[in-house]
Amino acid sequence: MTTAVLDAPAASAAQSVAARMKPVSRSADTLFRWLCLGMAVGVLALVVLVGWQLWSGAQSAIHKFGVGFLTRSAWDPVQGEFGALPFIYGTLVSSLLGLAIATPLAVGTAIFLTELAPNWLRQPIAFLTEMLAAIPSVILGLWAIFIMLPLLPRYLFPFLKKTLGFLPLFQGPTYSAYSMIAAAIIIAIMILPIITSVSREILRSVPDLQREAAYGLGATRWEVTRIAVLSYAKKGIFGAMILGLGRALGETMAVTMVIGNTPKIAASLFQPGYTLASVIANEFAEATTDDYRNALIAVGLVLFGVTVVINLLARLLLKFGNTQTGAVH
Amino acid sequence: MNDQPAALPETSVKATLPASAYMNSPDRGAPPPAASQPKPAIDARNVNIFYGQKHAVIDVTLGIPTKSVTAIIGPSGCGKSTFLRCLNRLHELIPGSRMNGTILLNGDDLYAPTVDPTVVRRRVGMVFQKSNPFPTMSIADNVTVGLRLNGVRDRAFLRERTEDALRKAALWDEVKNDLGKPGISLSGGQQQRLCIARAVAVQPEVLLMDEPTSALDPIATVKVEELMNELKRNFTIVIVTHSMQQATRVADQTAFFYLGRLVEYAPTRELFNNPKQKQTEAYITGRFG
Repeated sequence: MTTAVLDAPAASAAQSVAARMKPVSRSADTLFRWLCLGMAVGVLALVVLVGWQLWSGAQSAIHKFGVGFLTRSAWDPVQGEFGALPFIYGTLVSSLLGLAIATPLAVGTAIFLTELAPNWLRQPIAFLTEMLAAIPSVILGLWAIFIMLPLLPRYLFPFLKKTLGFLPLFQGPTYSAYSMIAAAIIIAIMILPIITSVSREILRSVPDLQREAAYGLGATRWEVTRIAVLSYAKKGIFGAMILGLGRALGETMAVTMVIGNTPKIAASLFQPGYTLASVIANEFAEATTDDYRNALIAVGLVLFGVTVVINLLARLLLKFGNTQTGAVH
Repeated sequence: MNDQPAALPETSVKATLPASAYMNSPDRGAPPPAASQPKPAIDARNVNIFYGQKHAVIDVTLGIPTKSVTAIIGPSGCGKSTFLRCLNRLHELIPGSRMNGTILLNGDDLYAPTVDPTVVRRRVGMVFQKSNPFPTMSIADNVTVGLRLNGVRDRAFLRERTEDALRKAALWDEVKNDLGKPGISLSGGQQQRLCIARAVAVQPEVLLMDEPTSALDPIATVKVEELMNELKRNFTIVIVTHSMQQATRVADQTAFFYLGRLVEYAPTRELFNNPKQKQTEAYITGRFG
């Protein structure tokens, strides 16, 4: 009896609360869904559109030059000879060399920031590394021309010749500082921030339990970093490298300013070269004939293709690595 | 603490363990040890631990007898895990932590200025709350990683140690055909036993366990508890646990921590059946914690 008395006001309260609530509406939910879908489709469409535009723009060049466009190394607009091989070579070599220089620096910085640096030092260094990404490409190029290039023939080239001169890569004359090496160094500087900050996030995501497991076994700092941190994070670090490589392939301004812009394939890294991105930036404005313009658009298509292929290869490698170690992440 | 007067009532004399092995804080009083009693494996005296301004462990004096299981119980934040971690200097990884007092491991001062913490951790192994095998290593490599860190390269010896450690961890029969598989392919309970094998492979003098079964299901928990009973024949075990039932099942003696202090330390049965301190009684009867 008492419960009935107690229940009555509770029930009416529940009723009044329900009465005040709006009926469930799905319209906002539906709008939200379609809006997000639209944006995702938009991004996808943009990629497809760019690819299609390049493809159709390059059609006449493809018809005219055929597959030979990719394998010929002569680039002589005056004679109407167009071969993209020197640019493909220059792009791949400068990017991979830049990646090789940048990766140890970036991973070392990331390890220092997550494992070794005292707390008060972490933020400032991380900030400065990311500031590097904010420097406009053309400013870096100017710095390279005025400061870096004069130093190369004086210090770096003789040193490389002396220590690694047995390799064809480091032979030949060194009279000009405009070279593949200069381009690789500038690329390394430009991709350093992205590799560092992504690696840092990856290292930070390594659970402390992993570190404690290693410390608990009596590991030193270096051993902890090696067995618990780096082996856990190596796939993520590889991913960071691929992001960096993606940037390197398309890097244009600063590279153009230091690579020497010579469409030749030279064995020596002391020699100048040319990249796919640089040749488009340099020559598009002065491309007077239709063939010339179409050839440059085809170069753009090749750059697009190289980037896509490299990213696909990286993904395959990651997948392959996964099945190898059987790790679940 | 030899100058402390005997203040414990008669019942403690009947304890199965030498009283000196579980010396209480000075203010609780402890009986003078008899001359024939064995030395404790770990002898902690007046241990204080600070994290910045926080005084996490306050003046704890505790002797841990060799080749037995000692449980540390108490509510969350009572300093029990911190105390456990100072036994292998793992708390030093937290910036701003300070410790004073003395901890002797079989007579050696773990905090002497010349002692390298990595050497301490090779003598005092640890098993953590969540199993943490190295994900990129095989089962066998996980077991031998501690030995390999110490420069052991002899493959035959490593194989022999792998089997021995896995047998000690009661895991050998389950994994002997899968030693090359990744350690994280095992189930949760197996992973925790793998971590135990990894810790015992280097033959530490003391094995610390920080709530080792809190992430395990009841069946896996029973297995780990049975394992502790086996392991104490060879090792000195200190376990921190949230579960009082677990303490009664596995521990020879139990220490109750509250608000950073050691409140009571006695043979397990005695602590649970006949607690001397009001706080202990309140905690074990579920009135707080």
